[in-house]
Amino acid sequence: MINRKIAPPVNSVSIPDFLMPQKYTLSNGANVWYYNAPVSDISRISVIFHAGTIYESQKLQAFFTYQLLKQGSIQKSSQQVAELLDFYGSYTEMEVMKDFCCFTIYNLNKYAQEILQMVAELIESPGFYETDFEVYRKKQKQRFLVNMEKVSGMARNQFPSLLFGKDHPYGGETNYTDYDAIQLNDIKQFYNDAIKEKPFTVLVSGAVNNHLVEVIDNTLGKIKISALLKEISSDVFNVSDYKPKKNYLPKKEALQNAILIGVPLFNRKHPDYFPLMVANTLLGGYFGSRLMSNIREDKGYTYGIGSALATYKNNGYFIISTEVGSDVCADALKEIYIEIEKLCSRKVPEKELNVVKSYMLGDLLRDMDGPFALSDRFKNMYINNLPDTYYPNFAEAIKNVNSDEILRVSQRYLTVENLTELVVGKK
Amino acid sequence: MIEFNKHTLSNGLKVISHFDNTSPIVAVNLLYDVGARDENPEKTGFAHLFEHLMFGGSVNVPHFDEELQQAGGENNAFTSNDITNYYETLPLENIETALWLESDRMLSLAFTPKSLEVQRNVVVEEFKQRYLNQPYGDAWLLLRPLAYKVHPYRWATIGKEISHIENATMQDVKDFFFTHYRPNNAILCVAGNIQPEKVFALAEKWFGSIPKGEIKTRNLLPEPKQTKAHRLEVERDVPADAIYIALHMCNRTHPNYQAFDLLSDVLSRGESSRFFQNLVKEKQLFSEISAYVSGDIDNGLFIINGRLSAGVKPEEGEKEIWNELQKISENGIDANELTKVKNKVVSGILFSHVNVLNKAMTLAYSELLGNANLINTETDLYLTVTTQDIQQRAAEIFIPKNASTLVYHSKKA
Repeated sequence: MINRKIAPPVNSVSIPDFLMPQKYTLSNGANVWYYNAPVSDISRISVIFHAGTIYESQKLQAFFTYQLLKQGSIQKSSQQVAELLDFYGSYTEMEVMKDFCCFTIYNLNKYAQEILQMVAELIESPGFYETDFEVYRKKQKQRFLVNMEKVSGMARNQFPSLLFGKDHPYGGETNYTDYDAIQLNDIKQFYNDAIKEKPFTVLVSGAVNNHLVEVIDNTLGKIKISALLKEISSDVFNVSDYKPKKNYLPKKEALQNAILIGVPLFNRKHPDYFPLMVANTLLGGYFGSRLMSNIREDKGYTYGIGSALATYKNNGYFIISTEVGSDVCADALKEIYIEIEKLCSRKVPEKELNVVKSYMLGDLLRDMDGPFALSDRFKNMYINNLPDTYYPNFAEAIKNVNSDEILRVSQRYLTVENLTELVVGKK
Repeated sequence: MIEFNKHTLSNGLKVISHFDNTSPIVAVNLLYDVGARDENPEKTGFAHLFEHLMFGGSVNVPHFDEELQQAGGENNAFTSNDITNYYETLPLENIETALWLESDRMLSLAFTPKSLEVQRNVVVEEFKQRYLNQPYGDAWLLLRPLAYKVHPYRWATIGKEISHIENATMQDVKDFFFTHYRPNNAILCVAGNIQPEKVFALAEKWFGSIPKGEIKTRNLLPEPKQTKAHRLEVERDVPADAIYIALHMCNRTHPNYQAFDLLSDVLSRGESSRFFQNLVKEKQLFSEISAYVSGDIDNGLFIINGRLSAGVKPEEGEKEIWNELQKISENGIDANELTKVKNKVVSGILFSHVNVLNKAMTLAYSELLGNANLINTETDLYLTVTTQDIQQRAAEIFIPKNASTLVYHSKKA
C-alpha cells in the first residue's frame, strides 16, 4: 500500500541544452532562424520588422499601418488576399509592439509558395485601400469604446503615461479622437519611412525541409532591402525624472475596481534583472505567489492578481495588476502593500524560495514544449537583443540566487514609496 | 496520425497514453464527466465552484499547488456545461507528483470550511469580473434561458445568480464530490516522453486502489422542439447595439455536427467569409459579426453575434443577417466555398497538435465523446461533408421559429 502522506521523491529539474535555432541568409541579406521538428507538413513563419510604435510621429500610426499592410497589396485586393489565405488554410497574426512588429503566418507547407508570394507582395507593395482603412477604423473605434467600458481597459490605457510620461516613446495613452485624426496618408508615410526596403528578420518553426527553404528564398528573399532604419537615440528612453503618483479614475456603478501598481525599471540586460525576476515571481508571478495566496486564496477579494516584469529593448517596468470587489478595494490595497513591505524587509524563507526556483525552472522547460514554443523563446531573445548565453545564465541565476540577493533587489527597486498606483472604479 | 494506447483500471478509470519524445514536458489531463448540466436548478454554478474547491487541499495533501510547483509543475482547470477538466504540465522526471496529487484529490478532499468560504468569495468576484462588470458580459446569462426552457443548458456554468454560489453548504460539496468525482466517471490522459506500459503502471499505482462509485445514469430532460420565436431586448451601458441569435441544432456526436460547424465557417471564418464581405465591408452594417457552434454534448446552439455600426438600427442588421442565412438555405454554396472552409479546418486541426498539453486534452475529450481516436478521424468527418449537406442543414435550422434573439440597445446611442 502506498503512503499518500509522503510526497513522491522530487527530482531537481534538469534543464536540457538550450538549443539555438539554425540560421541561413536569404538572397536579399535577410537572416532566417529556424527550428525543424518532426511535425506534420506545417510551418509557422514570422517576419520581424524593426520599427515598432516608438517610430510613430502620431498615435496609432504603426498599429494601423501594419494591420492594413496585411490586408491588401497593389497586386491583390483585400478580398483576394482574404480569399487566398482562407482557401489555402493559412492564418495570420500581426503583433505590433513598442520596439518591433511581428507578422506571423501559419502555413500548410504544400501551399507555402502561394502564401509566401502573396506575403512578399504585401510587404513590398501594400495597397492601403481607402475602403479597407475606413472599415478597419470603424471596427477599432468601436473596440476602443468597448474597452473603455471596462475598468481594466481604462486602467491599462492610462498607466504607461503615469510611469513613463505622456510624451515618452513607451508612455502615452490613446483617446477616441486619435481614431478620427489618423489618415491614410499618415499610414503611407509610416510605411515609407520605417518599413519599405528596410531590413527584416525571419523566424521559422515546424517542418522545415529543402522545399520550404527554397520557397522562402524565392519569395521573402526577393523583397528589396536597400536602406537602414534610422536608430532612435537611447537618450529619449531616459526616465530619470520619474516621480511616483497616485491616481484615481472614477467609473460609475463599477462592481469591481481595477488596480495597477508599478514602477519603471530596466531591460533584460541589467545585472539585477535575474534576481528581481525571482523576487517578482515570489511576490506575484505564479499561482502560489504571496499576492495570490493572500488576496485571493486567503481573503477572497479577487478572481486573480499577478505581478510581472515587462521589458522593452531600452527599459522596462514592474507591474501588479488585479480587479477586486469595489467594496473591498481599500482592504485589498492595504494587503498588497503589506506584501510589498514584507518582501522589502524580511528575507524569504528557504522553503518558499525553493518552491519558486523549482517552479521557474519548470517554466523554462515549458518554453521548450514543441517547435513553436522554442521559436517563441528565440523571438524573445531576438527582440530583446540578448546573447546566446541568456537562457543558460538565467537557469544558473535561478539556481544560485539566495535570500540576501532577493532582499537587496526588492529594497532597491520595489519599495512602496517608489511605486505608482492607479485605481479605476467606484470609491 | 496521433498514436495512443488505452487501458481501463478495475475501478473503471479510463487511461490513455500518448508517446511524444520531442518535448521535455509531460502533460497530465484528468477529465471528469460532470458539468453544469448535472446541477440542481436551485443550486446552479456548483460544478464550477467545485472546481475551485479541488485546489483547497485533499485528504492527505494540504497544499496542492505548492507540492506541484515544488516539482516544477503548473496546473489549471476549467468547467463547461458538460465537463470539468484538470491538467498539469511538469518535467517528465516528476510525473509521479502530478499523479499523486490528482489521485489524492480523487480519493477525497479535505473539505475545510475555510476553503469553501474563500472560494465562494473568489467565484463571486469571478462572476462580477467576467459577467457583470464587462460590456455585453451578461449575454450568455440572458441568452441561455431564452433558448432553453427545459434542459439544464438554460443556465451558464458560473450559475444563474450569485446567491446560488453564496448559499452553497459543505453538505452540498460532499454530496457533489461523492456523486461525481469517482474513478469510473473520469478519463486520465498522459502525453509525453513516456511509454504506455509505464503510464498504465503508474496509473495503477496511484489510482488503482480508489474505490469506484455508483454513477447514476444521466437522465436529463431533452429540450422540446422550439415552436415559436423567442425574443428579449435589453438596455445597457454599452457603446453599440448588438444582436445575438441562437438557433437550436444537433449535438456534438451527431453525424450532422461537422456540417453545421462548416456552415458557421462559411458565414464568418476569416475575412473572405460571407458575413465579413457582405455585412461588414460592403454594407457596413456591423463592425464585427461572427457565427459559431456551441459544440455541446447534448443538442447545442448555432450562434450568430454581431455588433452594429454606429447609426445602424438593430432591425436593419437583423434583417440582413436573415437575408444571408436564407441565401444559403435557398441557393446553397458553391464547391469552392466548401473546399475553402474544409482546408481551414484541416489546417486548424494540424496546428492544434503541436504541443503535448493540447493533445492530452483532445484525446481525453474525444474518449468522452465515444472514442479517443476521434482525434484522428475527425478530419475525415469534415472532408466528407457535401454542399448539399450544408444547404440542408441551413434549411433545417435557419427558420425564425427556431431562433432566440437577444438585442442590446445602447443607452448611449
